[in-house]
Amino acid sequence: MQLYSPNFLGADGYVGGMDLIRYAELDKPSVARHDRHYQYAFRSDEMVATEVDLAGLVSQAAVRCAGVGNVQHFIGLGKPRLARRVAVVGLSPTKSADADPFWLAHVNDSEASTSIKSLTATINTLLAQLRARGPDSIDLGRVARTAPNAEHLVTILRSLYAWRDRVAGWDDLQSFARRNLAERGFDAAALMKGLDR
Amino acid sequence: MSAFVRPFKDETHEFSLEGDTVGLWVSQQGVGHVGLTYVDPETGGVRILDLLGSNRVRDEAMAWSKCEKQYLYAPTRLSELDRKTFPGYIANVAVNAKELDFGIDWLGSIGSFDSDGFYCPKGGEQGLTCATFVSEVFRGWGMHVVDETDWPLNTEEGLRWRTELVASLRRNGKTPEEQIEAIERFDPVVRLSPAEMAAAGTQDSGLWPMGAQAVAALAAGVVADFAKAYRPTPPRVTTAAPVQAERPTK
Repeated sequence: MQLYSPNFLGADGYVGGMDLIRYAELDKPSVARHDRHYQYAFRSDEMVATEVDLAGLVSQAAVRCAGVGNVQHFIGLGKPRLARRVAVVGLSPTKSADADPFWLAHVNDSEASTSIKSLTATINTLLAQLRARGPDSIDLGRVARTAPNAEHLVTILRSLYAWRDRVAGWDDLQSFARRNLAERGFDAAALMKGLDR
Repeated sequence: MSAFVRPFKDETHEFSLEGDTVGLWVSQQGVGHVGLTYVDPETGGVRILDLLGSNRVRDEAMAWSKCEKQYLYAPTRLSELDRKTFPGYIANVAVNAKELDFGIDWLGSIGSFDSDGFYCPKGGEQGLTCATFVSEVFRGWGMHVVDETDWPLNTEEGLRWRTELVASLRRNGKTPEEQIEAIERFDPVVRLSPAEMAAAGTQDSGLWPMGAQAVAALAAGVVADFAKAYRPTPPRVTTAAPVQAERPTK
């Protein structure tokens, strides 16, 4: 069976179902079936094929190898809804161990864009990780305690507000944010209104 | 017309990413209705999000033709950061909460939205109304618009509303009878009206959470604005003499 060229491997080394959608978008029907897709996951010589429906491609059981690379790819393509679905159904454990997720990269970059798109990417990648891997996967200890990006910081706190009792470190980060933002001249009370209830 | 409530079809008002990104709209259909309007952060298009009596969370592109019908729009006064971020959260609700029970258990429904917009009702909760749905979407983003503990229980107006609501749901025929009966039996009745939610939601967040009395005063203004914007057409009166039918000739 002819597999894909290495150029089409997902960033984590897995050929995920989302790569097949990419083929469909590139109009390569010989690779992507019209309405049914085969998901191949391989590492070294091992190959596992799972037949899924197009609709089922985003179901939780089907796509287990959607790497963070694929999530970022779809965000970059301007398809955040698809990226959100990909992230919801699973993040590659190998890839997520190597790269900071978007939300963390954004908050730790004081120069990160604070456009609507960028802030929305923080919301979506954070909530996708929360939903896919649970509150224990959110390590707020990795948020920089020097000069984190203020807007992304508050966005993270609001995004996790309803989970604040289950995400370790939320209270600490909230307290830190109030102090840090006030020290840096931001109107912390206004930015964080309601988060102390 | 109040500054904060106006007909949708207002040529001087445009939705833009730099301006309004989240607003509320209110109508008087049935027993009254309220929903959210938001700018989709992905497409820039304007969408509406509301909870229908059929237990469906409707999320669809704003149809400007609807604005010629009887809706009023109320812009929010969110902070600059919330203007940029709240639409992203609303979009998550729109994706993740497609259906939820329509019910009048406001107090029991507090905190029923997860951060990612999933509806996670607490045990025994009976559901939301269009207004408490909007309130809970705000709350999911850490914005406490109204102080539900300040609302009166079992008022004459609230009990009358429940009777009218039940009749309206039965007429529409889209809500299971068992659910309607649960609404009919539910006690105590604590009503957050669409006009109250629209009025409170448009205030500066520095005033949140708002109490019942302050909101009621503002809500009266919304109702008055509605009457002004959509004054019923008076019946046509004619003084022309009736045409006499011709008698057939023999």
